[in-house]
Amino acid sequence: MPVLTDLTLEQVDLPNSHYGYSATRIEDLGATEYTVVTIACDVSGSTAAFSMEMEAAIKKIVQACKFSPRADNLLLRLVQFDDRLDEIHGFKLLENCHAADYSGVLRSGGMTALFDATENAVSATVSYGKQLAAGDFSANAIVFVITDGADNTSKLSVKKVRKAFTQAITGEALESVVSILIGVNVQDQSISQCLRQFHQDAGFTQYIELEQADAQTLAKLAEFVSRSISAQSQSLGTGGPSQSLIF
Amino acid sequence: MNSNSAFTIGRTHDVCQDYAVAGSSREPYVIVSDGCSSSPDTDIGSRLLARAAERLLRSAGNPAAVAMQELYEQAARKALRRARGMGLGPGCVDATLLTIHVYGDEFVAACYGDGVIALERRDGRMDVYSINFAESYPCYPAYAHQPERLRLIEERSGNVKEVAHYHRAGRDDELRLSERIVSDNCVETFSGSVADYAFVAVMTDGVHSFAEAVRTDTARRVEPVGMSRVLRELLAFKNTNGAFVQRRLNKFSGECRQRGWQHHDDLGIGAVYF
Repeated sequence: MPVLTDLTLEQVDLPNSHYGYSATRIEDLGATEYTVVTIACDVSGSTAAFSMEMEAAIKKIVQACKFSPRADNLLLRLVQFDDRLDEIHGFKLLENCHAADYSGVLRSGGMTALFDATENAVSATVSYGKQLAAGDFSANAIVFVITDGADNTSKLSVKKVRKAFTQAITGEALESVVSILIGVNVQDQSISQCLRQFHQDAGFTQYIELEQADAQTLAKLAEFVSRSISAQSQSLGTGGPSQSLIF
Repeated sequence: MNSNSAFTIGRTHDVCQDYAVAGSSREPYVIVSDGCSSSPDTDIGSRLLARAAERLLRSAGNPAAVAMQELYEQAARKALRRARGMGLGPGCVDATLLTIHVYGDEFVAACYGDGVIALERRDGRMDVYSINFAESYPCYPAYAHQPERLRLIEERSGNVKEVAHYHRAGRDDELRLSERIVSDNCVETFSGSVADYAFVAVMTDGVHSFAEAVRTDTARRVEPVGMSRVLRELLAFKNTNGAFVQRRLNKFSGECRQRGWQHHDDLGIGAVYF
């Protein structure tokens, strides 16, 4: 497994949270503005059948973002979650993200702590956004939560997730926050219903549902994610979020 | 060491006539130019002048302070020639020139025309020199090659050049006027040891053009915002990596909108952090 741990990243604790996050030190950043990107990927046991395809999709996202005109203004954080959260890497400049490093990073097993993972993804984004704002950087954010099932083991409630989203909006450190919940391999109507409800209750900007999780579908997902990242980054400075893209 | 620059259009301008460039081929430098708002095409002229000065500064291999007047006037000559090649009149190069560059263990900051130079020491003391012309007719470097225009400006006896020196004893203190002197120099130069200073910044006279809307129950009026208040915010760099001046200006501009501050003139700024 490649070593994605970067000693140049600073470890940050989140108040009232078991998990924190790591991020590029503010003094190591040089541009005027950044889009803070988080991808939280479900790796619970049921994802084992398509974890290779998901890894390929992550590589494709990283590669595609490098071709974005906003490549120099992107900071990417990748986390995987089952019943616990595991940060594959913290907020890292895209220039320091290499597609080859993402081989063998996803490990499948366990249950689905979807709420805990989403709350951490959003809270870490807000926390880092505050740091960026204090350092004179303009910033906005986009958060992707990719899952194949409903929550079944989180310690936090949906209300806590919604509170994190509310803080992201009211905090004003981030110019705008776009959040996209992506259901993959959703063939069970009850799972679909649960995820739609979670999208509503938590306050995600957009919900995308994919019936399959084959290579072709996940490649299309990678394209959607990278286009959404680019659109959100290009909206920085306009005062609002990017328009939601159609999958 | 790092250098960076930024410029932004003033409220009453259709086009920004200030221009700023920064680089660090060997040693860091910044160049800021302010095109005269009443002359034609000075947005182009200020760029031509700044770029000509940049080429000369780099090729001269960091000139000493005494060589600055010659360098500025040579830059103006080159800018005038290029402007002529573009079919533009000599008035387009009516622009000030302010630079900072490193010369060995020292820095040189200079101003031809009007503008502001701020020098912050590592212990927090700061000196600010505000260079103004009494009748608001700066003597531009391009006049060195236009004898008739130079004569006309020199005939304005009231148009004296004044250098106001402000000093701040520590980071938490206010800038206070220390002295005002009348200067006959074409170029005002300031130098010091890189080891003693945290940063040096040069700015166009746009820093004097800030005003705030004041509202009472019965009236709405506009009052000027003093240079001291503007500089306290504008030079409060949070970190000095990369585009640190552009970041500060962006944030400062946002804060100005929230406070109801406006600047009617263009603002150009460059800084070298040692």
